[in-house]
Amino acid sequence: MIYNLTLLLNGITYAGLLFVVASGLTLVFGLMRMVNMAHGSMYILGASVGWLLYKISNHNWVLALLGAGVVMMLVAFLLQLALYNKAYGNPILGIMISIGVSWIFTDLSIELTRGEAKAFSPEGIVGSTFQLGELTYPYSRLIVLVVAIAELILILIILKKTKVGQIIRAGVDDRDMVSSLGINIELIFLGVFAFSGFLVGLAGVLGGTMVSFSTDGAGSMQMLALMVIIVGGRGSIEGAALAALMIGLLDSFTSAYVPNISTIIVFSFVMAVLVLKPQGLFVKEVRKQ
Amino acid sequence: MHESVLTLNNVEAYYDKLHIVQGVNLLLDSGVTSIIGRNGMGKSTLMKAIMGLVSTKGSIKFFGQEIVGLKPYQIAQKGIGYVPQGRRNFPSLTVDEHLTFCASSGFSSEENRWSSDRVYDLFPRLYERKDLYGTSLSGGEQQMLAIGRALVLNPRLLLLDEPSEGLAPTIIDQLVDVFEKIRKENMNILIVEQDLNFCERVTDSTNVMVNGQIAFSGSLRELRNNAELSRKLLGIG
Repeated sequence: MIYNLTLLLNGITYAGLLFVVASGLTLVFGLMRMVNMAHGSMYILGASVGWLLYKISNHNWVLALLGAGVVMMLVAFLLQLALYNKAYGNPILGIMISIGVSWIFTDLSIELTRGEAKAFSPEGIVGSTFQLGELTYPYSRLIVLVVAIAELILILIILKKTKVGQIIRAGVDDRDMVSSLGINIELIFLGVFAFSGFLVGLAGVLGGTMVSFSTDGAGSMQMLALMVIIVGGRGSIEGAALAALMIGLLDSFTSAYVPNISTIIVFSFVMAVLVLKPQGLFVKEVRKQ
Repeated sequence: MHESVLTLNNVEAYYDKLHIVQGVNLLLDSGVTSIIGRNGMGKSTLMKAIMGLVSTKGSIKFFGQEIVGLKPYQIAQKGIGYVPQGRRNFPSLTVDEHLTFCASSGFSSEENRWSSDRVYDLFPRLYERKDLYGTSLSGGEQQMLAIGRALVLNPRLLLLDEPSEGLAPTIIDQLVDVFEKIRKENMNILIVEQDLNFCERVTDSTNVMVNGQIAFSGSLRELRNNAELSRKLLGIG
Protein backbone atom coordinates (compact mmCIF):
# COMPACT_ATOMS: atom_id res chain seq x y z
CA MET A 1 0.00 0.00 0.00
CA ILE A 2 2.68 2.50 1.07
CA TYR A 3 4.78 1.20 -1.78
CA ASN A 4 2.08 1.87 -4.36
CA LEU A 5 1.33 5.26 -2.86
CA THR A 6 5.02 6.15 -3.18
CA LEU A 7 4.99 5.00 -6.81
CA LEU A 8 1.89 7.10 -7.43
CA LEU A 9 3.49 10.18 -5.90
CA ASN A 10 6.73 9.52 -7.78
CA GLY A 11 4.78 9.28 -11.03
CA ILE A 12 2.86 12.48 -10.40
CA THR A 13 5.92 14.49 -9.35
CA TYR A 14 7.96 13.13 -12.25
CA ALA A 15 5.08 14.21 -14.48
CA GLY A 16 5.44 17.68 -12.96
CA LEU A 17 9.07 17.81 -14.06
CA LEU A 18 8.21 16.50 -17.54
CA PHE A 19 5.54 19.16 -17.87
CA VAL A 20 7.89 22.01 -16.91
CA VAL A 21 10.40 20.73 -19.48
CA ALA A 22 7.90 20.03 -22.27
CA SER A 23 5.49 22.96 -21.92
CA GLY A 24 7.94 25.44 -23.46
CA LEU A 25 8.84 22.99 -26.21
CA THR A 26 5.21 22.43 -27.19
CA LEU A 27 4.47 26.17 -27.40
CA VAL A 28 7.56 26.69 -29.54
CA PHE A 29 6.71 23.72 -31.74
CA GLY A 30 3.08 24.77 -32.05
CA LEU A 31 3.80 28.36 -32.90
CA MET A 32 7.06 28.27 -34.83
CA ARG A 33 6.61 24.77 -36.36
CA MET A 34 10.14 24.15 -35.27
CA VAL A 35 11.31 21.13 -33.29
CA ASN A 36 14.02 22.52 -31.07
CA MET A 37 16.43 19.59 -30.84
CA ALA A 38 18.54 21.59 -28.38
CA HIS A 39 15.80 21.58 -25.73
CA GLY A 40 17.28 18.64 -23.80
CA SER A 41 20.73 20.22 -23.80
CA MET A 42 19.19 23.53 -22.69
CA TYR A 43 17.75 21.62 -19.75
CA ILE A 44 21.23 20.32 -18.83
CA LEU A 45 22.83 23.72 -19.45
CA GLY A 46 20.21 25.26 -17.16
CA ALA A 47 21.08 22.73 -14.47
CA SER A 48 24.81 23.40 -14.97
CA VAL A 49 24.39 27.17 -14.79
CA GLY A 50 22.30 26.62 -11.67
CA TRP A 51 25.06 24.45 -10.25
CA LEU A 52 27.62 27.19 -10.83
CA LEU A 53 25.39 29.77 -9.10
CA TYR A 54 24.70 27.29 -6.30
CA LYS A 55 28.42 26.93 -5.63
CA ILE A 56 29.21 30.63 -5.93
CA SER A 57 26.35 31.63 -3.65
CA ASN A 58 27.28 29.11 -0.98
CA HIS A 59 24.35 26.80 -1.67
CA ASN A 60 21.57 29.33 -2.19
CA TRP A 61 19.05 27.06 -3.93
CA VAL A 62 16.44 29.69 -4.74
CA LEU A 63 19.09 31.88 -6.37
CA ALA A 64 20.32 28.90 -8.40
CA LEU A 65 16.75 28.12 -9.51
CA LEU A 66 15.80 31.63 -10.59
CA GLY A 67 19.29 32.43 -11.89
CA ALA A 68 19.24 29.38 -14.15
CA GLY A 69 15.81 30.46 -15.43
CA VAL A 70 16.94 34.01 -16.20
CA VAL A 71 20.25 32.97 -17.81
CA MET A 72 18.50 30.41 -20.03
CA MET A 73 15.88 32.99 -20.95
CA LEU A 74 18.65 35.28 -22.22
CA VAL A 75 20.33 32.36 -24.01
CA ALA A 76 17.05 31.52 -25.75
CA PHE A 77 16.45 35.16 -26.65
CA LEU A 78 19.86 35.44 -28.33
CA LEU A 79 19.55 32.02 -29.95
CA GLN A 80 16.27 33.01 -31.56
CA LEU A 81 17.59 36.36 -32.76
CA ALA A 82 20.88 35.03 -34.10
CA LEU A 83 19.98 31.61 -35.49
CA TYR A 84 16.53 30.14 -35.12
CA ASN A 85 14.68 32.89 -36.97
CA LYS A 86 16.73 31.91 -40.05
CA ALA A 87 14.93 28.58 -40.04
CA TYR A 88 11.49 30.20 -40.32
CA GLY A 89 9.40 28.02 -42.64
CA ASN A 90 12.16 25.44 -43.08
CA PRO A 91 11.76 22.62 -40.52
CA ILE A 92 14.74 20.57 -41.72
CA LEU A 93 17.06 23.55 -41.38
CA GLY A 94 15.61 24.15 -37.91
CA ILE A 95 16.39 20.59 -36.87
CA MET A 96 19.95 20.76 -38.24
CA ILE A 97 20.70 24.12 -36.62
CA SER A 98 19.30 23.04 -33.28
CA ILE A 99 21.24 19.75 -33.30
CA GLY A 100 24.42 21.78 -33.81
CA VAL A 101 23.40 24.08 -30.95
CA SER A 102 22.71 21.07 -28.72
CA TRP A 103 26.32 19.89 -29.13
CA ILE A 104 27.64 23.31 -28.20
CA PHE A 105 25.42 23.48 -25.12
CA THR A 106 26.37 19.98 -24.04
CA ASP A 107 30.07 20.85 -24.28
CA LEU A 108 29.45 24.03 -22.30
CA SER A 109 27.71 21.97 -19.62
CA ILE A 110 30.63 19.53 -19.47
CA GLU A 111 32.89 22.57 -18.98
CA LEU A 112 30.73 23.85 -16.11
CA THR A 113 30.36 20.51 -14.30
CA ARG A 114 33.63 18.82 -15.36
CA GLY A 115 31.40 16.16 -16.85
CA GLU A 116 30.43 14.76 -13.44
CA ALA A 117 26.91 13.87 -12.36
CA LYS A 118 25.64 16.39 -9.83
CA ALA A 119 22.69 16.67 -7.49
CA PHE A 120 21.49 19.72 -5.62
CA SER A 121 21.08 18.80 -1.97
CA PRO A 122 20.34 22.08 -0.23
CA GLU A 123 19.88 22.37 3.50
CA GLY A 124 16.59 23.48 4.95
CA ILE A 125 13.16 22.53 3.78
CA VAL A 126 14.02 21.87 0.11
CA GLY A 127 16.47 19.12 1.04
CA SER A 128 14.36 17.54 3.80
CA THR A 129 11.54 15.01 3.97
CA PHE A 130 8.11 15.03 5.49
CA GLN A 131 6.03 12.38 7.19
CA LEU A 132 2.51 11.50 6.15
CA GLY A 133 1.30 8.56 8.24
CA GLU A 134 3.76 5.83 7.50
CA LEU A 135 5.01 7.52 4.38
CA THR A 136 8.24 9.53 4.30
CA TYR A 137 8.55 11.70 1.25
CA PRO A 138 11.03 14.39 0.09
CA TYR A 139 9.87 17.99 -0.08
CA SER A 140 11.91 18.56 -3.23
CA ARG A 141 9.55 16.37 -5.26
CA LEU A 142 6.56 18.18 -3.86
CA ILE A 143 8.12 21.52 -4.79
CA VAL A 144 8.53 20.38 -8.38
CA LEU A 145 4.84 19.52 -8.47
CA VAL A 146 3.85 22.87 -6.97
CA VAL A 147 5.98 24.72 -9.55
CA ALA A 148 4.44 22.66 -12.36
CA ILE A 149 0.88 23.35 -11.21
CA ALA A 150 1.60 27.06 -10.71
CA GLU A 151 3.10 27.21 -14.19
CA LEU A 152 0.15 25.39 -15.72
CA ILE A 153 -2.30 27.83 -14.12
CA LEU A 154 -0.20 30.84 -15.15
CA ILE A 155 0.08 29.73 -18.78
CA LEU A 156 -3.62 28.91 -18.99
CA ILE A 157 -4.53 32.35 -17.63
CA ILE A 158 -2.20 34.00 -20.14
CA LEU A 159 -3.56 31.91 -23.01
CA LYS A 160 -7.24 32.33 -22.15
CA LYS A 161 -7.43 35.82 -20.71
CA THR A 162 -4.84 38.02 -22.37
CA LYS A 163 -4.45 39.46 -25.84
CA VAL A 164 -0.99 37.91 -26.16
CA GLY A 165 -2.58 34.57 -25.29
CA GLN A 166 -5.20 35.01 -28.00
CA ILE A 167 -2.45 35.79 -30.51
CA ILE A 168 -0.52 32.68 -29.43
CA ARG A 169 -3.60 30.45 -29.76
CA ALA A 170 -4.43 31.89 -33.17
CA GLY A 171 -0.77 31.58 -34.18
CA VAL A 172 -0.72 27.90 -33.31
CA ASP A 173 -3.80 27.48 -35.56
CA ASP A 174 -2.60 29.52 -38.54
CA ARG A 175 0.34 31.83 -38.17
CA ASP A 176 0.27 33.30 -41.70
CA MET A 177 -3.31 34.38 -41.13
CA VAL A 178 -2.34 36.09 -37.87
CA SER A 179 0.41 37.93 -39.71
CA SER A 180 -2.09 38.97 -42.41
CA LEU A 181 -4.13 40.65 -39.68
CA GLY A 182 -1.36 43.13 -38.94
CA ILE A 183 0.28 41.30 -36.04
CA ASN A 184 4.07 40.91 -35.92
CA ILE A 185 4.11 37.20 -35.16
CA GLU A 186 7.91 37.02 -35.13
CA LEU A 187 7.98 39.26 -32.09
CA ILE A 188 5.62 36.82 -30.41
CA PHE A 189 7.94 33.94 -31.43
CA LEU A 190 10.83 35.72 -29.71
CA GLY A 191 8.85 36.20 -26.51
CA VAL A 192 7.56 32.64 -26.44
CA PHE A 193 11.00 31.17 -27.11
CA ALA A 194 12.58 33.28 -24.35
CA PHE A 195 9.82 32.12 -21.98
CA SER A 196 10.47 28.51 -22.99
CA GLY A 197 14.15 29.10 -22.15
CA PHE A 198 13.18 30.40 -18.71
CA LEU A 199 11.06 27.31 -18.04
CA VAL A 200 13.71 24.84 -19.16
CA GLY A 201 16.29 26.65 -16.98
CA LEU A 202 14.00 26.24 -13.96
CA ALA A 203 13.41 22.62 -14.93
CA GLY A 204 17.15 21.90 -14.99
CA VAL A 205 17.57 22.90 -11.34
CA LEU A 206 14.30 21.25 -10.30
CA GLY A 207 15.28 17.99 -11.99
CA GLY A 208 18.81 18.21 -10.56
CA THR A 209 17.27 18.52 -7.09
CA MET A 210 14.57 15.89 -7.48
CA VAL A 211 17.00 13.30 -8.84
CA SER A 212 20.34 14.40 -10.27
CA PHE A 213 21.70 15.56 -13.59
CA SER A 214 24.61 14.74 -15.83
CA THR A 215 25.57 15.97 -19.26
CA ASP A 216 24.76 12.67 -20.94
CA GLY A 217 21.13 13.08 -19.84
CA ALA A 218 20.38 15.70 -22.52
CA GLY A 219 19.33 13.15 -25.12
CA SER A 220 16.92 11.27 -22.90
CA MET A 221 15.30 14.48 -21.64
CA GLN A 222 14.92 15.63 -25.26
CA MET A 223 13.24 12.32 -26.09
CA LEU A 224 10.90 12.48 -23.08
CA ALA A 225 9.86 16.04 -23.90
CA LEU A 226 9.17 15.05 -27.50
CA MET A 227 7.08 12.12 -26.31
CA VAL A 228 5.02 14.42 -24.10
CA ILE A 229 4.26 16.81 -26.95
CA ILE A 230 3.49 13.99 -29.40
CA VAL A 231 0.96 12.47 -27.01
CA GLY A 232 -0.42 15.84 -25.90
CA GLY A 233 -0.65 17.37 -29.34
CA ARG A 234 1.28 20.19 -30.93
CA GLY A 235 0.94 23.45 -29.07
CA SER A 236 -1.56 22.17 -26.50
CA ILE A 237 -0.70 23.09 -22.90
CA GLU A 238 -3.53 21.06 -21.36
CA GLY A 239 -2.44 18.22 -23.64
CA ALA A 240 1.16 18.49 -22.43
CA ALA A 241 0.00 18.38 -18.80
CA LEU A 242 -2.17 15.29 -19.31
CA ALA A 243 0.44 13.57 -21.47
CA ALA A 244 3.13 14.25 -18.86
CA LEU A 245 0.87 12.72 -16.23
CA MET A 246 0.24 9.61 -18.33
CA ILE A 247 3.91 9.12 -19.18
CA GLY A 248 5.04 9.91 -15.62
CA LEU A 249 2.69 7.36 -14.07
CA LEU A 250 3.38 4.74 -16.71
CA ASP A 251 7.11 5.14 -16.20
CA SER A 252 6.88 5.06 -12.41
CA PHE A 253 4.79 1.89 -12.17
CA THR A 254 6.40 -0.06 -14.99
CA SER A 255 9.91 0.74 -13.70
CA ALA A 256 8.91 -0.72 -10.35
CA TYR A 257 6.96 -3.79 -11.44
CA VAL A 258 8.43 -4.72 -14.83
CA PRO A 259 11.73 -2.86 -14.95
CA ASN A 260 13.11 -4.90 -17.87
CA ILE A 261 10.39 -3.82 -20.27
CA SER A 262 9.45 -0.45 -18.78
CA THR A 263 11.00 1.55 -21.62
CA ILE A 264 9.40 -0.72 -24.19
CA ILE A 265 5.97 -0.17 -22.66
CA VAL A 266 6.34 3.62 -22.49
CA PHE A 267 7.58 3.80 -26.08
CA SER A 268 4.88 1.42 -27.30
CA PHE A 269 2.29 3.71 -25.77
CA VAL A 270 3.74 6.71 -27.62
CA MET A 271 3.92 4.78 -30.88
CA ALA A 272 0.33 3.63 -30.48
CA VAL A 273 -0.71 7.27 -30.13
CA LEU A 274 1.31 8.15 -33.24
CA VAL A 275 -0.47 5.46 -35.23
CA LEU A 276 -4.01 5.90 -33.89
CA LYS A 277 -4.16 9.64 -33.30
CA PRO A 278 -1.12 11.28 -34.89
CA GLN A 279 -2.28 14.80 -34.07
CA GLY A 280 -2.13 13.94 -30.34
CA LEU A 281 -4.74 12.86 -27.83
CA PHE A 282 -5.90 16.29 -26.74
CA VAL A 283 -6.01 18.44 -29.86
CA LYS A 284 -9.32 19.70 -31.22
CA GLU A 285 -8.54 20.10 -34.88
CA VAL A 286 -5.52 20.31 -37.12
CA ARG A 287 -5.29 22.75 -39.95
CA LYS A 288 -3.24 21.68 -42.90
CA GLN A 289 -0.95 24.43 -44.17
CA MET B 1 -3.69 64.26 -59.06
CA HIS B 2 -6.05 61.41 -58.52
CA GLU B 3 -4.32 58.55 -56.74
CA SER B 4 -5.18 54.97 -57.56
CA VAL B 5 -5.77 52.50 -54.72
CA LEU B 6 -3.57 49.76 -56.03
CA THR B 7 -1.13 49.77 -58.94
CA LEU B 8 0.42 46.49 -60.03
CA ASN B 9 3.32 46.68 -62.40
CA ASN B 10 4.70 43.56 -64.01
CA VAL B 11 3.97 41.45 -60.92
CA GLU B 12 5.29 37.91 -60.90
CA ALA B 13 4.56 35.49 -58.07
CA TYR B 14 5.62 32.01 -57.25
CA TYR B 15 3.92 29.31 -55.26
CA ASP B 16 6.07 26.33 -54.31
CA LYS B 17 8.52 27.36 -57.04
CA LEU B 18 5.72 27.33 -59.63
CA HIS B 19 5.55 30.53 -61.64
CA ILE B 20 1.86 31.26 -61.19
CA VAL B 21 1.47 34.98 -61.70
CA GLN B 22 3.31 36.00 -64.86
CA GLY B 23 3.57 39.73 -65.31
CA VAL B 24 0.32 41.25 -64.10
CA ASN B 25 -0.38 44.93 -64.76
CA LEU B 26 -3.44 46.29 -63.02
CA LEU B 27 -4.72 49.66 -61.96
CA LEU B 28 -7.33 49.63 -59.25
CA ASP B 29 -9.46 52.71 -58.74
CA SER B 30 -11.64 53.35 -55.74
CA GLY B 31 -14.85 51.38 -55.52
CA VAL B 32 -15.55 47.71 -55.96
CA THR B 33 -13.52 45.77 -58.50
CA SER B 34 -13.33 42.09 -59.28
CA ILE B 35 -10.91 39.65 -60.81
CA ILE B 36 -12.59 36.70 -62.43
CA GLY B 37 -11.30 33.67 -64.23
CA ARG B 38 -11.39 29.93 -64.30
CA ASN B 39 -9.80 27.72 -61.68
CA GLY B 40 -6.03 27.65 -61.56
CA MET B 41 -5.48 30.91 -63.42
CA GLY B 42 -3.53 32.48 -60.57
CA LYS B 43 -6.21 34.65 -58.95
CA SER B 44 -5.63 33.46 -55.39
CA THR B 45 -1.87 33.60 -55.78
CA LEU B 46 -2.19 37.19 -56.94
CA MET B 47 -4.12 37.97 -53.75
CA LYS B 48 -1.40 36.30 -51.72
CA ALA B 49 1.22 38.31 -53.59
CA ILE B 50 -0.54 41.54 -52.64
CA MET B 51 -0.59 40.37 -48.99
CA GLY B 52 3.12 39.42 -49.05
CA LEU B 53 2.35 35.74 -48.46
CA VAL B 54 4.21 34.37 -51.50
CA SER B 55 7.52 35.37 -53.05
CA THR B 56 6.84 38.18 -55.47
CA LYS B 57 8.71 40.27 -58.04
CA GLY B 58 7.68 43.51 -59.72
CA SER B 59 5.99 46.48 -58.15
CA ILE B 60 2.78 46.74 -56.14
CA LYS B 61 1.93 50.25 -54.99
CA PHE B 62 -0.79 50.80 -52.43
CA PHE B 63 -1.87 54.45 -52.36
CA GLY B 64 1.46 55.23 -53.98
CA GLN B 65 3.60 53.25 -51.49
CA GLU B 66 5.61 50.23 -52.62
CA ILE B 67 4.57 47.13 -50.67
CA VAL B 68 6.52 44.35 -52.44
CA GLY B 69 9.11 43.04 -49.98
CA LEU B 70 7.14 44.03 -46.90
CA LYS B 71 5.98 41.36 -44.44
CA PRO B 72 2.29 40.48 -44.31
CA TYR B 73 1.77 42.26 -40.98
CA GLN B 74 3.31 45.45 -42.38
CA ILE B 75 1.08 45.29 -45.44
CA ALA B 76 -1.97 44.76 -43.25
CA GLN B 77 -0.95 47.73 -41.13
CA LYS B 78 -0.85 49.90 -44.25
CA GLY B 79 -4.57 49.27 -44.53
CA ILE B 80 -5.34 46.05 -46.38
CA GLY B 81 -7.87 43.66 -44.86
CA TYR B 82 -7.59 40.14 -46.22
CA VAL B 83 -10.45 37.62 -46.35
CA PRO B 84 -8.79 34.48 -47.67
CA GLN B 85 -10.22 31.62 -49.65
CA GLY B 86 -11.61 29.03 -47.25
CA ARG B 87 -12.02 31.77 -44.58
CA ARG B 88 -9.22 30.45 -42.37
CA ASN B 89 -10.90 31.26 -39.09
CA PHE B 90 -9.15 30.07 -35.94
CA PRO B 91 -10.42 26.87 -34.32
CA SER B 92 -8.99 28.00 -30.97
CA LEU B 93 -10.58 31.45 -30.82
CA THR B 94 -14.20 32.30 -30.12
CA VAL B 95 -16.20 34.45 -32.50
CA ASP B 96 -15.86 37.38 -30.12
CA GLU B 97 -12.10 36.90 -29.86
CA HIS B 98 -11.79 36.94 -33.66
CA LEU B 99 -13.35 40.39 -33.67
CA THR B 100 -11.27 41.89 -30.85
CA PHE B 101 -7.77 40.39 -30.75
CA CYS B 102 -6.59 42.05 -33.96
CA ALA B 103 -8.84 45.12 -33.91
CA SER B 104 -7.24 48.42 -34.78
CA SER B 105 -8.46 51.96 -35.30
CA GLY B 106 -6.82 51.71 -38.72
CA PHE B 107 -7.88 54.22 -41.35
CA SER B 108 -11.55 54.82 -40.60
CA SER B 109 -12.91 58.08 -39.37
CA GLU B 110 -14.36 57.98 -35.86
CA GLU B 111 -18.00 57.70 -36.99
CA ASN B 112 -17.26 54.99 -39.56
CA ARG B 113 -15.02 52.90 -37.32
CA TRP B 114 -15.64 49.18 -37.33
CA SER B 115 -15.78 47.61 -33.87
CA SER B 116 -17.02 44.17 -32.86
CA ASP B 117 -20.35 45.83 -31.94
CA ARG B 118 -20.77 47.25 -35.42
CA VAL B 119 -19.90 43.87 -36.94
CA TYR B 120 -22.60 42.32 -34.73
CA ASP B 121 -25.06 44.94 -36.00
CA LEU B 122 -24.14 43.96 -39.55
CA PHE B 123 -24.27 40.22 -38.83
CA PRO B 124 -26.70 39.61 -35.93
CA ARG B 125 -26.17 35.85 -36.30
CA LEU B 126 -22.58 36.27 -35.19
CA TYR B 127 -23.72 37.95 -31.99
CA GLU B 128 -25.89 34.94 -31.20
CA ARG B 129 -22.80 32.75 -31.63
CA LYS B 130 -20.20 35.00 -30.08
CA ASP B 131 -18.94 32.42 -27.57
CA LEU B 132 -18.61 29.58 -30.08
CA TYR B 133 -15.29 28.68 -31.65
CA GLY B 134 -14.38 29.99 -35.09
CA THR B 135 -14.69 26.78 -37.04
CA SER B 136 -17.84 25.43 -35.37
CA LEU B 137 -20.03 27.80 -37.39
CA SER B 138 -21.87 27.14 -40.65
CA GLY B 139 -20.17 28.10 -43.92
CA GLY B 140 -22.13 31.35 -44.25
CA GLU B 141 -21.45 32.34 -40.65
CA GLN B 142 -17.77 31.59 -41.09
CA GLN B 143 -17.69 33.86 -44.13
CA MET B 144 -19.38 36.62 -42.13
CA LEU B 145 -16.80 36.12 -39.38
CA ALA B 146 -13.88 36.30 -41.80
CA ILE B 147 -15.29 39.52 -43.27
CA GLY B 148 -15.91 40.93 -39.80
CA ARG B 149 -12.36 40.06 -38.75
CA ALA B 150 -11.01 42.04 -41.72
CA LEU B 151 -13.39 44.98 -41.09
CA VAL B 152 -12.25 45.53 -37.48
CA LEU B 153 -8.76 46.26 -38.85
CA ASN B 154 -10.46 49.33 -40.37
CA PRO B 155 -8.60 48.94 -43.64
CA ARG B 156 -8.62 51.12 -46.74
CA LEU B 157 -8.97 48.12 -49.03
CA LEU B 158 -10.71 44.81 -48.48
CA LEU B 159 -9.34 41.82 -50.42
CA LEU B 160 -11.86 39.00 -50.68
CA ASP B 161 -10.90 35.66 -52.18
CA GLU B 162 -13.98 33.81 -53.45
CA PRO B 163 -16.41 35.09 -50.80
CA SER B 164 -19.41 33.33 -52.37
CA GLU B 165 -17.74 29.91 -52.55
CA GLY B 166 -19.96 27.16 -51.16
CA LEU B 167 -22.68 29.50 -49.87
CA ALA B 168 -26.44 29.11 -50.23
CA PRO B 169 -28.23 31.66 -52.47
CA THR B 170 -29.93 33.38 -49.54
CA ILE B 171 -26.58 33.89 -47.82
CA ILE B 172 -25.16 35.28 -51.07
CA ASP B 173 -28.06 37.77 -51.18
CA GLN B 174 -27.09 38.86 -47.68
CA LEU B 175 -23.47 39.31 -48.72
CA VAL B 176 -24.54 41.48 -51.64
CA ASP B 177 -26.42 43.73 -49.21
CA VAL B 178 -23.42 43.84 -46.91
CA PHE B 179 -21.04 44.91 -49.67
CA GLU B 180 -23.55 47.57 -50.65
CA LYS B 181 -23.48 48.92 -47.08
CA ILE B 182 -19.72 48.78 -46.76
CA ARG B 183 -19.00 50.54 -50.04
CA LYS B 184 -21.23 53.44 -49.05
CA GLU B 185 -18.64 54.18 -46.37
CA ASN B 186 -15.99 54.58 -49.07
CA MET B 187 -14.37 51.23 -48.45
CA ASN B 188 -12.48 49.98 -51.49
CA ILE B 189 -13.02 46.35 -52.30
CA LEU B 190 -11.24 43.87 -54.56
CA ILE B 191 -13.03 40.56 -55.03
CA VAL B 192 -11.68 37.43 -56.67
CA GLU B 193 -14.56 35.30 -57.89
CA GLN B 194 -15.69 32.52 -60.16
CA ASP B 195 -19.38 33.35 -59.77
CA LEU B 196 -20.13 35.92 -62.48
CA ASN B 197 -23.67 36.61 -61.31
CA PHE B 198 -22.42 37.50 -57.86
CA CYS B 199 -19.76 39.75 -59.38
CA GLU B 200 -22.26 41.50 -61.57
CA ARG B 201 -24.35 42.37 -58.53
CA VAL B 202 -21.54 43.90 -56.49
CA THR B 203 -18.75 45.21 -58.70
CA ASP B 204 -18.26 48.22 -60.92
CA SER B 205 -15.52 46.91 -63.15
CA THR B 206 -13.86 43.60 -63.68
CA ASN B 207 -10.62 42.03 -64.82
CA VAL B 208 -10.26 38.57 -66.30
CA MET B 209 -7.22 36.54 -65.40
CA VAL B 210 -6.00 33.87 -67.82
CA ASN B 211 -2.83 31.85 -67.32
CA GLY B 212 -1.29 34.21 -64.81
CA GLN B 213 -2.00 37.41 -66.73
CA ILE B 214 -4.79 39.97 -66.96
CA ALA B 215 -6.44 39.34 -70.32
CA PHE B 216 -9.33 41.80 -70.08
CA SER B 217 -10.21 44.89 -68.07
CA GLY B 218 -13.53 46.64 -68.39
CA SER B 219 -17.16 46.23 -67.46
CA LEU B 220 -18.70 42.84 -66.93
CA ARG B 221 -21.59 43.77 -69.20
CA GLU B 222 -19.20 44.45 -72.05
CA LEU B 223 -17.70 41.02 -71.52
CA ARG B 224 -21.10 39.34 -71.38
CA ASN B 225 -22.25 41.00 -74.59
CA ASN B 226 -19.20 39.76 -76.41
CA ALA B 227 -19.86 36.03 -76.70
CA GLU B 228 -16.67 35.29 -78.49
CA LEU B 229 -14.52 37.06 -75.92
CA SER B 230 -16.19 35.43 -72.93
CA ARG B 231 -15.87 32.03 -74.55
CA LYS B 232 -12.20 32.65 -75.15
CA LEU B 233 -11.44 34.03 -71.68
CA LEU B 234 -13.85 32.16 -69.45
CA GLY B 235 -14.91 29.17 -71.50
CA ILE B 236 -18.59 30.13 -71.30
CA GLY B 237 -21.31 31.42 -73.58
